[in-house]
Amino acid sequence: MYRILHGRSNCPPKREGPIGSVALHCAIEVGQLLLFKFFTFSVSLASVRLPCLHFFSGQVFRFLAAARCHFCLIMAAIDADTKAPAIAEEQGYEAQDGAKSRVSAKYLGTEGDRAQMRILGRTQETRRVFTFITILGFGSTLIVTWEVLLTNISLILINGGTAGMFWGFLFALTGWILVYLSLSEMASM
Amino acid sequence: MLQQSARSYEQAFYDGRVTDCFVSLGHPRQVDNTVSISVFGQIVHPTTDISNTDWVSEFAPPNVQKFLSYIVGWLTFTGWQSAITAIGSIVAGTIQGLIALKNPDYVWERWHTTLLTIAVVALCVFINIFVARRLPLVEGFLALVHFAGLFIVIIVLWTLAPRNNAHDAFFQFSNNGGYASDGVSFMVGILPLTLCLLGFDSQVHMAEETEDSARSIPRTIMYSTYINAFLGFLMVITLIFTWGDMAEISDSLYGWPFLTVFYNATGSKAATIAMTMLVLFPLTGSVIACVATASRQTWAFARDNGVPFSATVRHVRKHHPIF
Repeated sequence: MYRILHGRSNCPPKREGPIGSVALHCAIEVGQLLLFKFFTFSVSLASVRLPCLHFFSGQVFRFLAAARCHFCLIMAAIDADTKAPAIAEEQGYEAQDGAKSRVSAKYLGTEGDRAQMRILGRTQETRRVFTFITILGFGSTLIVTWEVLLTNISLILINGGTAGMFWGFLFALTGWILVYLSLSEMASM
Repeated sequence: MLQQSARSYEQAFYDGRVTDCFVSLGHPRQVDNTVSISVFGQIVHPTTDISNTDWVSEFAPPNVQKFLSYIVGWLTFTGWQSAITAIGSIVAGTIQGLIALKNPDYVWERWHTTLLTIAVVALCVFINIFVARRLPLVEGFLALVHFAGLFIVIIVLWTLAPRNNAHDAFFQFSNNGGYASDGVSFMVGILPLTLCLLGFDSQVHMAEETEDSARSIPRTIMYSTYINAFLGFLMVITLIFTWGDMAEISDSLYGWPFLTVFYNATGSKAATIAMTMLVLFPLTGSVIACVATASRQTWAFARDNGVPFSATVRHVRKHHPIF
């Protein structure tokens, strides 16, 4: 996708990201379809009472259809990118400043890490000490969902009450999951 | 300054004035909110701690590339810096609430919060500098408290607190903030809820210190989102059922009604303090992680000459055991 969008050839080899798997692709497709059906249904229900929604719904459908096409194109591009040969490694990029890393070999990370740092022209100046589990702990500790929820609870209960808290949480969660899905898709490139 | 903006932020919730809502946008966490949305930027190549500028300059039209990436860089920079103090002030305020619980004669002062915030942030900076090598261990331990602590808290609440009925819990909306309609009030109430799930892009900034980052970073972003969403959902379910009387919210302990809920459920000050510790430890861990993230972000931004005195900031001393 990176290569197609920018016509560049120094893209690092694509790795399988969190939504690279077939199952998740299917899940996203199905979810999108369901969302589409649900939206269609609710708008058509609403437009019985509010005729002006007919115009609006037409616009929305057009937008959704366009978004769907766009999404499929991007997915196809990602797939093509996955299968493309790793051009970057063939050409053998060197660090721009030619500086040698001072970090001992133990902390330099995997082969893939080193290759990508070479491609980017950056010198490894920090040690790679976080593993999968510890970085998971790091992220979870930074967010502290339920603790922040507890400390913010008076504001939520004043505006919204208990029902607002429950439905609002689901609402916010849906939005954030979409945000983080695209975030991690970018990160897996 | 921070305290004042935090005050106005809370005032907006009570008074229901639109102007106050705009003022409250000055609240650092709100800035961070905006920022986090704009930080897709950070992560074109996760192997390195990308300065957000890289992403923006990749996708922006050529004529505004520099300007946009500069703006986004500064937004992220200020956002992460202020996130430190924002969570630090929550920790400080909770400590004040505990003091007020234990000692009824305690007189609440604003500058107490400020000093406590400075102390908390100083502690976290100290840990980041001198315990840097053991940071994964510290974070791992606090993550354990974060995961296990929830179950201790909710089991206590489930067994001891009074139960709300299901219809009220799921369908009774309230509008006590003075907003025009229930819908607006609901939307305002979502704002604090979004804060709970904010900031999973932090791992991206640690990418340069993670093994096999192209694989593990995106995975951990999603896994930690799902885990935290699950924990948050459990807490939401617990709170909507075990929440006591609304009138108690207003005269609770200095704006921390959860202390009152804990105290009413357990009836013991010691138990309340122990349960609050389970909240305080992960929150302090959050400040530590924020300091770590903000420092990496600043360093990465300085590598692109974004911050003032970039050459000094980005310099890594030769024999200093950073990691």
